[in-house]
Parts: sequence; C-alpha cells; structure tokens
Amino acid sequence: MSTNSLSNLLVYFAIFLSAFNLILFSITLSQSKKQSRVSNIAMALTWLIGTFLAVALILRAVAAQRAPMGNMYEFAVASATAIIFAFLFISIKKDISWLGIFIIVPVIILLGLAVIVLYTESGPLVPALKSSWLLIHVSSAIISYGAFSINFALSILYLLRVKGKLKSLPSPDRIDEFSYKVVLFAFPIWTFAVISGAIWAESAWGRYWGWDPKETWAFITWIIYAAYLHSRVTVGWKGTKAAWVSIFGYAAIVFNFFVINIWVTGLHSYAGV
Amino acid sequence: MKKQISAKQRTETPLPPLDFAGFLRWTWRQLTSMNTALLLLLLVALAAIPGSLLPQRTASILKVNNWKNENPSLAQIFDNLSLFDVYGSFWFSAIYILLMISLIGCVVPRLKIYWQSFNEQPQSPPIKIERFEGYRKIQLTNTSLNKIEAELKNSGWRINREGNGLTAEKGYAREAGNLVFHASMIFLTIALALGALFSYRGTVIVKEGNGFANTLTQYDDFRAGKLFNIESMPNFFFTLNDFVVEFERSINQTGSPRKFEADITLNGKDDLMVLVNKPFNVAGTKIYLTGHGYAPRIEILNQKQEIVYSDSITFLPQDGNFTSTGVIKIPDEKPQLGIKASFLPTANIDPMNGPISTFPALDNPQLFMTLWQGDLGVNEGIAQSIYRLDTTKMTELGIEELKPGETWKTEQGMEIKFLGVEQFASFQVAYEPGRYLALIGASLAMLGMFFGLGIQRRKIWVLMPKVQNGPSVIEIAGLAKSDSHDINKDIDKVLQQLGIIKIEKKGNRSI
Repeated sequence: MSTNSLSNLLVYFAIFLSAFNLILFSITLSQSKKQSRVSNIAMALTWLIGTFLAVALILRAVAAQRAPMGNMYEFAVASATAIIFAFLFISIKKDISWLGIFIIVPVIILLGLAVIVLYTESGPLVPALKSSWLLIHVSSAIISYGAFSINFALSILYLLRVKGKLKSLPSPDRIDEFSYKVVLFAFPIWTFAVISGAIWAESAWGRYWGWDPKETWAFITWIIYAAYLHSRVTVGWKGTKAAWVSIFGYAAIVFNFFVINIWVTGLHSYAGV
Repeated sequence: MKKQISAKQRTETPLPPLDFAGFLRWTWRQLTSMNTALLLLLLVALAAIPGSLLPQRTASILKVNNWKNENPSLAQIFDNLSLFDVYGSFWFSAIYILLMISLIGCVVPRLKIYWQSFNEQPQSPPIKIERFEGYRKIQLTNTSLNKIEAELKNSGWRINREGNGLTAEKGYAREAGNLVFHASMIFLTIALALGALFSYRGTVIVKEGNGFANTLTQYDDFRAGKLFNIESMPNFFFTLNDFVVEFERSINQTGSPRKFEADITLNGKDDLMVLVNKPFNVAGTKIYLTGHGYAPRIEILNQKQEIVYSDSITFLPQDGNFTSTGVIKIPDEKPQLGIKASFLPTANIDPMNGPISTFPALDNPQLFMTLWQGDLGVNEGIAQSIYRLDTTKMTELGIEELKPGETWKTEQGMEIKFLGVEQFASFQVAYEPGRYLALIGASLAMLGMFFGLGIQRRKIWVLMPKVQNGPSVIEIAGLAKSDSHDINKDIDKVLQQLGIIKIEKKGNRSI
C-alpha cells in the first residue's frame, strides 16, 4: 500500500471513530456525573483520532515531499487536526468532555467535505506556493482556525446556556470566560498569520497588501475578533452581544475557507481545490 | 433588531448641549467612546465586503470592464458608489479615518494617565481586606513586614507601605502593551497611506525575444501614488530570452503548473532567471514574474496581396487550460478590418460548449477566428482596449479555424496566415517605499498585543496588625483588574516565596 493511500485510510478511520465518538460524547453530555467512564473512553478515543489525523498528514507530507498544506483537501484535514488538538491540549488541564460533541460534529463535517468534495491526490506544489513562507503562514492560520473553532462552539453553548438550556454544563459566566481565553490565544496567532501572509505576498506578488478577496476576508476576520476583544470590556456589549460578535468572526472564517476559495477567483485560487 | 436602551445607558449618553463648545465636547466624547469604536470596527468589516465580491480596479481593470459590460444596468450606479474601487473610496476612507480619530482620542488620554501612574504610588491598603478575593489569615513566627516588602519588591511588585500594611501592584506592562499596540495600528495606517502616495506599480507583457524599458509608455497598466515623481523611476531595460513553462501531465492534478521560468538579460549584460516568488531588484524597484500566455503570430494580406499586418499578438488566458482570446485591428485598411479570435493550445470540441482547450500546453494548437469589416470606432478619440473589438458598426465576413502553418483564403480574396505561436510572460514592476515602515508597525503591534493580552494588572494587600505577645499574624488578599485572572495564583506564589506555604498541584479541572 502506498503512503498516500495509507494516509487516506487513516482519514477514513478518523471519520469512523469520530462518528462513534459522537455517540459517546452525547452520552457524556446527558450524564450529570463528571468524569464518568464513558467520558474517559471518549477522551481516549479523541486522542486516537488526533493521532490518526496527525499520522495521515505526516504520510501525506512524506508522499509529496513537502508540507501537507498545498491544496484545500490538505488544508481541511490539517484544520480538523488542529481543532482536535486544540481541544485535547485544553483537556489536559481542564475537564471539557462536555464540549466534545460540539467539537466532533464540525470535525466530522470538515473531514466529510474533505474526502467527498475536496479530495485531491497528493502531488507537487504549483510554483506560486513554492516558498518557505508556506509552512509558516499556513500553519499559523490552521492553528488559529483550530482555536477559533473551539471559541465558536463555546459561544453557541453560551447563548444556549443563557437561555436556560443544558443546565448540566458550567455556568454561562464560566463558559464566557473560557471562550474569551481561547480567543486570547488564537488572536495573536491569527495576527501573525496575516502579517506573515503580507510578507510572503510582498515577496511573491510585489505588494504586501492588495485587497485580494482572501486577504480582505482575513482582514474582516481580524477586525471582527478585535471587536470581540473590545466588546468584552464594554458596557452593553458584554455577554450575549459579544458572543454574537465572535460567531460572526467564525462565519467570516468559514466564508473565507469555502466560498472565497471555491467561487471567487483571486490570487489565492490554486489548482487542486 | 430593535435597539433596547436601558435607563442606565440613557443617562450615560445625554442629549448634546446647545452651545457650540459643549456640542464639540459632546461629539468628541461620543466619537472616542468604546461603543463608537466598536461600531466603527464592525462597520469597517462590513464595508470591506463588497470589494471582495466585485472586481476591483486596483486588481484588474479588465475584469471591471468585463463586469460592467455584462451588467450594464448596474454599472453606472455601482461606479458612482465607487464599488469598483472600494478601498480607495470616500466612504471606506471616511470610516477608517473616523476609526483612527477614535483610536487617537482613546490612546492619548490613556497615555497621559499611564505616564502619571509611574509617578504615583499604588493606593493605600484598605483597613479591612477580608471581603476581597483569596483572603487568608496566617499565623507566623518569624517574619516581618519589612521582609515581605523586600521579597515582593524583588519579584517586581510596586509597593506602597503604610503603617502596618502594604499594597503591591503588578502588571503595568499590560497597559503599556495596549498603548503600543494601538499606537502601532495608527503608525501602520500612516505607513500604508504614505506607501500608497509614493509608490508605483505597473504591469507589462513581454513576448519572447522582446524587451522592456522602464519608461511610462512601455507599461500596459501603470498606477502611481499622487506624490510619486515619475522622473525618479530607475532606468533599466531587459529582454525576455526564453520562457519555460511545464504542466502536470499525470491524471492527478492534470494541467496544474509545475514550473515557470523566465530567462532575461538585464541592461544588456546580466543574465537572470526570474521565478514566481523570486523577483529581481533594481534600485528598490522589484520586478516579479506574475503570469504568462500565448501570442499567435499572424500575417494578413489584403485583396491586392499587400501585407497589411504581420505580428504576434498577446492573447489573454481565460481559464486554467489557457483558452485565450485576442483581437486584431487594422485601422489603415478601407473599410477597416477587425478579427476576434480564440486560441486553444490543446483544442477539443466539446459537444455542449463548442471548441475548448483541455490542456494548457501546445499539444494541438488551433486558432478560431471571426473576420469583421466596417468601422472600428477608433477614430472617435476615445481610448479603446486593445483586447476588445467593438463590432456594432461592423459586418461579419466569415469564420475559420486554423492550425499553425495554415492559411485562410477568404471569399473576398484576403489571406490570413497563422504562422506560429510564441509565448509571453507578464511582469509586475513595483516600488513600495512604505513596506518596511509597515512591517515595523505590524511587528510592534504584535509585540504590544502579547503584553496587552497576556499580562494582567493586579494588586495584593498584606496587613500585619501589631500583636503584643504570641505569634504574629498576617492577612493577605488581592484583586485583579480583569475577572479572567485568578488572583489566588499570585497570592499562592507570594506565600510560597515567603516560605509560608508549599504549593501542591490542585486538582481543580473544571473550567
């Protein structure tokens, strides 16, 4: 079996395990007891999913002899991996198994789209991507996407919690606090992704900022999360409104990832969508 | 969404006073309030959207014109609203200038307060601290407030000692970081603006074997900032000796570009290889390889067998497989002649869409032409695109498809020869003097952000009431300015430093 098809197989395994994990995490959520056996199994399974995805990416990199970030399929798998690991790293310190279901659902959707719609065989890079900035720029974008995804899940939970739903979860204030800390981590990395992108753009296209559609949406995302950080210290915005602002920020990320990449042509449109 | 205003908010934003100075003060306060800043931020995000969905002049004038031709009813309205030039439009500028003013109005007073805070002592400790976070009362045998003060000072706390108690404050770098961040954003915006004023950028298409000299007339498209002095453009010229392009031939990602290389000679002496991502630099001006395409060579003979046209013409690629379109105009013939053509490097006939190219390399090159006769409309003094043929005053003479080397003998007795195919490369020539300033601004903003988001402003109080006999007692408590910070951690750390407690890893795993 080639390294490439082994990589594909691992992604399929990861989807299968995630689907199974969905059941475990739903059971966890319905249980009132913290740290139940089911939630422990679910967390262990999540580590396995993360490992499978990480190995799949490494194999893909070995097969193509480059960073696995050259097309949308690889970007989607890498983003799903980042979401899983963002969740796992937080879980080392805090018990967040209640958040699992809200992480695993987007991961399944993302991986599903990756294998069904976006799949491209591994291959060499188009000339425009042959740069050492690829790894720096794209990996920082992926890491911040992973963290922003967690923030998105938390913002939705916060809104549900404020409405008096899901009473077994931590209090709305706690969720809000946690959600804010995730953005505190993600925002500087996203800023770095934008700056490194500008440096790369300068060396590749002759301008560091040219309002290419992808750049514009990166800017919009940045502005919205900046607004989120400010909204938390502003009377009349804190809480529900702030949560909505962060949801809009995530909507901008999703729009940038799918709509701009696929339907709008710009300098960021590359082969092997 | 209906806006609900609570009684509290209503009192916060009173109606503007009627006298002029009062009104100015009121406006200034409104503009520099956090609420306004937030709204302006969201407004900037919103205003940036149309520019990502509509073609922009700054990216491609050609695409803007195509869009306008396809949507004639909206074109004029959109143009009046600057929707094809969103990021240079008055309304976009208005929003970000307001945001900048709001930012300055926010930063300057805070800078003053921050400056003062360096000359001020932390406030005196309260008399009773048991209401505060992390309150602890500890019996001790051999320590003194002096010792505690020295210890705290050592680990970077600013201290105000008063009698039997002290206040220690930390985390001043947070505000410094915030101020640096916001000031850097202002700096970055200014760098962007200055860069735009003094920069120039142009695109040029060079056919293999041809050259380019850096003068205004040689550019296909040229934009310069308002303060750019054309005479300061560096003198250089280059010839494109050879252009190599390779495409993926396997089934996987077929047709994807794999290699672009432009072999050029600079100023008649230096041989250089220009690649995508690898520009060359002449006195601060950088020359980038940005694209390529095909230029069919065509010769046209009129009825009298005179050569009226003989040249290669650049055809603009329309898709990833280089289905390309081009136009030939012969204004000197009477009546005038025009040709509209599609060039397909690998021609295939699609039953639905007609002839299309199925691969970007020259595997089966074919030229599909329509010959027109009449009035080209070039004599009206209006600048015309060389890539567009206005056929409103022309009649069609015929259509034909040719392979290289073939000749089309028209019914009218003209001859159109497709001699061969050449390649062209497009280059972007750019001078961006503001780029290092922008990079400095962005880097400082990052640095400021790390401190501003990562550090917490917090204080702790230590009280040590005088005890006549028996072991002494200290009381300790603290307060963090933002509620996301757990002051207990600081108190634990301080107590550990003083050798009073040992921190055990606590098993608190709930968020």
